[in-house]
Amino acid sequence: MEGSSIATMGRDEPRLAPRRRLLPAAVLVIVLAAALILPQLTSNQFYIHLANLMLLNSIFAVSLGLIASVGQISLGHAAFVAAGAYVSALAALSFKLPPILGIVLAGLVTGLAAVLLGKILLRLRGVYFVLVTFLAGQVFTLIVLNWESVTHGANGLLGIPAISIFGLPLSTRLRFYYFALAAFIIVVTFVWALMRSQYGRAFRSIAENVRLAESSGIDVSHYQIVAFALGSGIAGAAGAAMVHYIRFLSPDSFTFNDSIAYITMLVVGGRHTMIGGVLGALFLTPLPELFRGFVGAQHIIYGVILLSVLLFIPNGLVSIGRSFFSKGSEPETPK
Amino acid sequence: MSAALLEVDAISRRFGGLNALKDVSFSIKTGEIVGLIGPNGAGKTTCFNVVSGVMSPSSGAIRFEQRSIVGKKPSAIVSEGLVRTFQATTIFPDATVIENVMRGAFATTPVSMLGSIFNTRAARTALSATRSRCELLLERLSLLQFRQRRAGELSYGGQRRLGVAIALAARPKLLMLDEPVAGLNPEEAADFGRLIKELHKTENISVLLVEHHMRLVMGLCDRLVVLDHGEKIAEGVPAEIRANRSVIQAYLGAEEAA
Repeated sequence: MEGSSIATMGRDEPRLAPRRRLLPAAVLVIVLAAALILPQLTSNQFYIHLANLMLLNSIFAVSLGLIASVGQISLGHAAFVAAGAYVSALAALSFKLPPILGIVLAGLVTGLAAVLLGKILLRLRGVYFVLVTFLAGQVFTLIVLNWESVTHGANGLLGIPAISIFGLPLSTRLRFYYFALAAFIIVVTFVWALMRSQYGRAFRSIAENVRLAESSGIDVSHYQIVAFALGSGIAGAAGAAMVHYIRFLSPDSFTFNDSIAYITMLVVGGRHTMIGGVLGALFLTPLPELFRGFVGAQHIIYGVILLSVLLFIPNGLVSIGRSFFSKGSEPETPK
Repeated sequence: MSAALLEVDAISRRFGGLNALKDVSFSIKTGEIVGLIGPNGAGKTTCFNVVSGVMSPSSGAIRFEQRSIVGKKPSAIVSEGLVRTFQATTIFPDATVIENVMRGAFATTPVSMLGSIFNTRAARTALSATRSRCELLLERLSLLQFRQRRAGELSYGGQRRLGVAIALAARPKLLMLDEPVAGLNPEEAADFGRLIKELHKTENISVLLVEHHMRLVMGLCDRLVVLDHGEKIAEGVPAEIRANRSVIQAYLGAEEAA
């Protein structure tokens, strides 16, 4: 993270020359245009489904990255995703709450739950926090499994309605795609703005040196809770969005394996930057599908790719892009 | 006589059966440089930690500008104007030098958190004012030329100065330095002493200094407080301390035994 992780991106470098500003902007416009047009060109529903999962996984990974930005790794992230999904699904099934409001409600409920949980859990750091979040996730699964009168236990919830916007149900994969894309852009923009702000400064200070952060007047426990609540709230809302897309929910929908998957995406993409989570999700979500032909060997191939990424690009995929972008125009070398 | 800036009133701190601090009292007046000295294990660092809120005292009172600060979070104590440095971990190694100081200025940057998310004009103005102030600090500490460098790449002495810059960015009224010259060579240590003296004037701060380096302490401090085995055994101007029998005994007790 050579000084230009999101930590310092665009802040401490002297004004970028117009050409250096233009390039990222142009890339952004092209990517956005492609994201808008490409799905129209394919009739293959599976590709669109995959794109939807990539967008949702990106949101999960980015929200986990937000929690990781204060130096904490949560092994219970999928539990917040599941909690959001259950809140919105149950609200829709029992109280006929429109899914779009259910998503908001899910975000608020999971965010609030994270505040309460965080007040207790965030006193722990490092491996202790990891372990306790793992346990919290397992406990959540057990509760869902056993509270049959509400959650229908292992049978799961069926007939969850699709999101409907101004009377238009997002019941096709393509329609949901544009919803997911919008949600993705909102989340990424929000997290980007957050990490660029004084919040981001506080988060990174805490991750790098807790004691010094506190003695610089940064209220460590407060900002840790803010990061945990925002990250969990976003995950909960996105979980709700996903459940109105998949339209079925059981305790198996989001499990510990998913928590691990989000962490993997974050690490493979580059855990020190927001865009890393996105890259990791975009890379890893479709990966298993490429090896469908090699039945039996696909997990092995997946594992080998994972290991190679960790071995050869330890700072994640994002570091490849960075060295590409900074080629020829080093920001400023200290004299 | 001006009012005391910091009053430490009979604080004790026990760890299990061990009395790390026993009924220690002292005070610092505005504008003073006070040294806190004593042999290894005398309780200096514990005293520092208790005063800066890292740990709470088992008993006793601490007042800063007449207000009690016992039980406040360290971050809240910083906002009152009492800022400390640490012996070892004084910087954010992966951030740039200027970003380090900007983080130190976190509590004193007059910007609303929401405003900084939306990057409003007010937020940009406040942040750029803070940035200028931080650059001025870096200049005072001869670090300005390294502003874009990763802090971990600075020399040891540079990292020490950066630690002070981070602390100063919080606009302290009282700066508490925990062994600032430990590990520096004699020349660097002497430079550091001059630096503290200079900052004491230019930044208008009072200083509490924990230090082993006797020549530095004697030359720099207006007054000394001596701890031994968690108790205050002497207090006075450097000349008095140098002649004090119990201080000599605490440091050189082995001499009599030998």
